[in-house]
Amino acid sequence: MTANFLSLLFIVALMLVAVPPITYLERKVLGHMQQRPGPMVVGFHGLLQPLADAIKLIFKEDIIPRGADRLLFMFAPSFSVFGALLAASVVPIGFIQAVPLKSGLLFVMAMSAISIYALVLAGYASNSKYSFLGGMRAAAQVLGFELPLGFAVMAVVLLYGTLDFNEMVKWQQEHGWGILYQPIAFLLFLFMMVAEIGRPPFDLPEGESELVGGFHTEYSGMRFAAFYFGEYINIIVLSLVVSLLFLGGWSGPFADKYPLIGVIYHLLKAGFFIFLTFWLRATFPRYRFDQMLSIMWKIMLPVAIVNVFVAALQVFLLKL
Amino acid sequence: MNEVFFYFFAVLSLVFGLVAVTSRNIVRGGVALLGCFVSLGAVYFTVGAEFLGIVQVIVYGGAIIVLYLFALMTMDFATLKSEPIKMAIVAVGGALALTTSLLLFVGSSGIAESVKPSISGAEDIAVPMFFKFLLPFEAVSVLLLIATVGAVAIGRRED
Repeated sequence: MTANFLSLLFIVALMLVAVPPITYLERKVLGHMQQRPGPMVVGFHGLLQPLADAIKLIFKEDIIPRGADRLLFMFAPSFSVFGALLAASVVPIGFIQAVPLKSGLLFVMAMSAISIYALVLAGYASNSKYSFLGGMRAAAQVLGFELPLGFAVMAVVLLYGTLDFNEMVKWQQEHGWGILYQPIAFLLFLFMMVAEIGRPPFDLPEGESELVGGFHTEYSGMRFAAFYFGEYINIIVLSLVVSLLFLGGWSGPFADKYPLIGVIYHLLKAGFFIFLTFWLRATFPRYRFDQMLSIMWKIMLPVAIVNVFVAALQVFLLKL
Repeated sequence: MNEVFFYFFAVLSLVFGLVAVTSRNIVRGGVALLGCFVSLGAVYFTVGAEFLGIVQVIVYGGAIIVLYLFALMTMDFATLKSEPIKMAIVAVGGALALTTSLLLFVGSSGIAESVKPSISGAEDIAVPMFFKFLLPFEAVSVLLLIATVGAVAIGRRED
């Protein structure tokens, strides 16, 4: 019980502490990919930039626009952090797991679905047309990616025969990484993951070129920061989940003897996927709204459904 | 400890349900309905049916309420008027539902103590569903297919 509680404290602290450095890294990576240095002014090579941002956000005036739905406007950002942190609480990092849940994978998906409400409600409550359109896009995006994501996950779950993260890693330690068996599910999951956290090329709800900033046009100060925290915690959590599902989580050489090395392996694998989201942002232009929906419904969903049959065949033929 | 959480979330879901029905602002009502579903999911957790709780949150909280909100936000509520007779019919229906649930509650109060939930994981639901109750399961899926086709037919009617 105390071990669980300590793990919970560790995971929540890790999630909250990791966000500012990740924003710094993102800006640096983006900068260098676009042949510019990124933040350089505050501290050595801009290292204190996240701190400066935090101070600015804390002291900024908290504005509630006239005509906004005050209650929903104030509560909407909390959905973002709430869902993301609850999802983080069931994900094991190496041997550190706060809540060992039998259906952990499903729980993560449920909580990620909850955090989408932040965008939808913020869009509605701001009473501004840019925010509203952003919120509508967020709602439509959920309806787009939820089904293919569910089927992509279903293929892996069929293969492993469990929803428990620990059992999945155990399976992969015996049979080899999941990506070898289900490369298509891996690609589908990556695609949907990017759509789920609303990162480019799927940042339609924000779309600064056409919607100014979408759902967070009217927000300022710490309420604005709450959206960022939710988004980045979601990135971390889903990166951890991808590496659990497809890259064997904390498995690797010497990980059995020294569990701490397993934690480092897992964080490194997740770190690669966090980097990947920056990379995608620097590489791809944003999809148009109708393009996004038709990709999801006409291409991804059929591929994902066929992939479930492939997974069933694998289980049947290979006697896994 | 579990009982405290059980009653907390049970009361919370009732309160959210009441807010959902009585709220004048329909989007707020939708959000309250979301709160109701999520706390109902938490109630399932407190009695040990964790899979059911998660499915409750994914299906109702994740997909259905988003769809509701999406539709509600695009509707024009200025054209809606209050209709007393229809309200009266709804009120009668609500009262009937309430008495039925009270009767059920009183009738099952003796049983409830002996029932222990034995469906915590996915397998506990899947195995009976796909072996023992396969026919009803398939019948329900056909029913859903009919409903989907019907909805598409109504939605695409050209006039």
